[in-house]
Amino acid sequence: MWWQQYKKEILGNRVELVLLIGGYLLWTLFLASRVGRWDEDAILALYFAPASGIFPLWTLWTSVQLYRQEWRENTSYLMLSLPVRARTITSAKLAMLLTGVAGFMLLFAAGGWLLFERTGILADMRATNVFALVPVEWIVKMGLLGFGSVLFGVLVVALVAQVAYVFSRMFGRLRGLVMVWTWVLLFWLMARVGDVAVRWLGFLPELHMRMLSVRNGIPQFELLAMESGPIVAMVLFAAGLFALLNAMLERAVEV
Amino acid sequence: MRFKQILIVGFLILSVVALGDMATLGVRDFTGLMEFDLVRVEGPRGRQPATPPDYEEQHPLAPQSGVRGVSVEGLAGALEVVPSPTGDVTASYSIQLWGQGNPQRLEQAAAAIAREVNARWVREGDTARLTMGRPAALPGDVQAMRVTVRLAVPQGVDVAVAMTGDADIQGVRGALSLAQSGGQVTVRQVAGPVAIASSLGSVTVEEVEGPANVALNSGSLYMRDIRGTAKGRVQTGALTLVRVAGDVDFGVEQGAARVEDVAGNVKLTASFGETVVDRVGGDVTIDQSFGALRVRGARRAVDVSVSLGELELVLEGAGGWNIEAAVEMGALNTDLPLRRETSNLRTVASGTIGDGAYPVRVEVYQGAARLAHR
Repeated sequence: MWWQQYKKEILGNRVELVLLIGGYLLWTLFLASRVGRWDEDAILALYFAPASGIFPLWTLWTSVQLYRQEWRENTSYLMLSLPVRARTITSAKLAMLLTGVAGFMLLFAAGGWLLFERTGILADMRATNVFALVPVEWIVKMGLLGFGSVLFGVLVVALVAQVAYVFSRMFGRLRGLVMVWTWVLLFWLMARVGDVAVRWLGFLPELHMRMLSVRNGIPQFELLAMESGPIVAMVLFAAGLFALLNAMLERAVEV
Repeated sequence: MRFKQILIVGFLILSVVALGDMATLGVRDFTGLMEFDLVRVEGPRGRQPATPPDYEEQHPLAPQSGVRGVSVEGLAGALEVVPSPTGDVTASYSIQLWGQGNPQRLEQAAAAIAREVNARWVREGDTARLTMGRPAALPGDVQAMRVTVRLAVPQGVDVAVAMTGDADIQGVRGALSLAQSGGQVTVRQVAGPVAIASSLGSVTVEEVEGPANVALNSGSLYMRDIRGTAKGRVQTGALTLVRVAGDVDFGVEQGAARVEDVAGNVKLTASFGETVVDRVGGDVTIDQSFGALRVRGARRAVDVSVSLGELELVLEGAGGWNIEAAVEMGALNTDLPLRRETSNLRTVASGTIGDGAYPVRVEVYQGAARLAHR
């Protein structure tokens, strides 16, 4: 059932996914064709700048749109009356969003690699002694960590947006205002949860990460010790939001 | 329906709490959060090359006896200084190479580098000087290299170093003079006096028995447990001073400063950053421009001036103060029983607290001031 729900979400958003991915693909190829004619810095700026604006906006818009279209197209009755737990539906919607985000990030990374390669910047970097001394294993780990961090960040923002939207559906009027205020309220709560976590979860063991720095021409790893309390608190906060979203859909929201 | 009602009531309660919280939100709520060490970089012990060297060789140098002073000149690399278990000064240096050539080629490269480094002792009476050269260029097969000098110094021997790179100096039971650039400096358990001039670095000085004088250009300076005076200057960087038995005299340009637990007098000149001074046994004299100044726990005389920034001054203890505070183009808030006069844009508050033994002079120009007593 979950898989069918997931496929339904993917198919339901296929047009915008294709438009977004296709558009960025064409933009990347266009910029790649400008290598040698335009300034390298301008090409890279034109590649990175739009993504930094489009990507968060798309994430936010889609997070809300996944539920909004259920009410707009009168399928919310069907959604709420399906003989499955709400978590099946909500997790499928989140999985769809994360699939889009992951796909976009992979496309973005591949496009960036193409442009760096074609402009010769990557070759220059590889030719430096310092680059040759950085273990590939560390670069891969950092890449995966960055990828996972972005996905988790997107997940939290999406959950906030979705809880705010679904909560606003419990009101007959001023739904927009309720949604915006709930959004503000949840981010305030998140900041306070982090604040409390720093004080009360200080007993949790620290996380260690190797950070690269170059000292006198030699790449070196420095050990970063990070408080795990705020991270654990954010995971618990996200889990709480997910549970709240499911509870609202099952027990509070009416069609 | 009951769940829906609970949700809405919870939402309303949370909204009221959040509104109250947001209404009282101030800059200190954010800076307060930053006071926790969420991320910390472990010191030099937590640092290691990203890949182990492909070749390494050691060069011991002849021990030096009857030495009262030792100096190191021209080192570009890393320096480790430890106490000597014997009465002699001992030294050795290692050459580490990273490269793609076969071991024989790297060995030849190391030999060529060792010739250029040409580390040798020069005796001048009871002073031993370790002179070192630096290779002009890396041999073809070498991608990176590091020269590390290990020095063991007996008790009572003074140490003077001029170098580029990292320095880890511990247990010197004499004076220390260090001129360094580009790297991390750790000085621990030194008798002193300590004099450090550093640029583009991160300097940590801990447990010094004598006075410490540090001039740092671009970087961060952390000093704690200084039994003598702490003096110096930080330009474009951050200063943290904790537990100083003597007087403090520092200038901080374009950076933040935090000074805590000083038994003697504190004299600071700071700009473009927040300055926090907490728990001072002696007099406090601070001139701050373009940034907030917070002095908490002043027990004796205070003379502070702030231009384009806010001031918080908290007097502490049962002492007495004769207060003269003036604020131009800003608010002056206080619960202390002071006379208040306002003319044009200038507010002056004055009066005596307790026996008025210590003078307190406050000048704030274009900023708010808060005076309190705890």
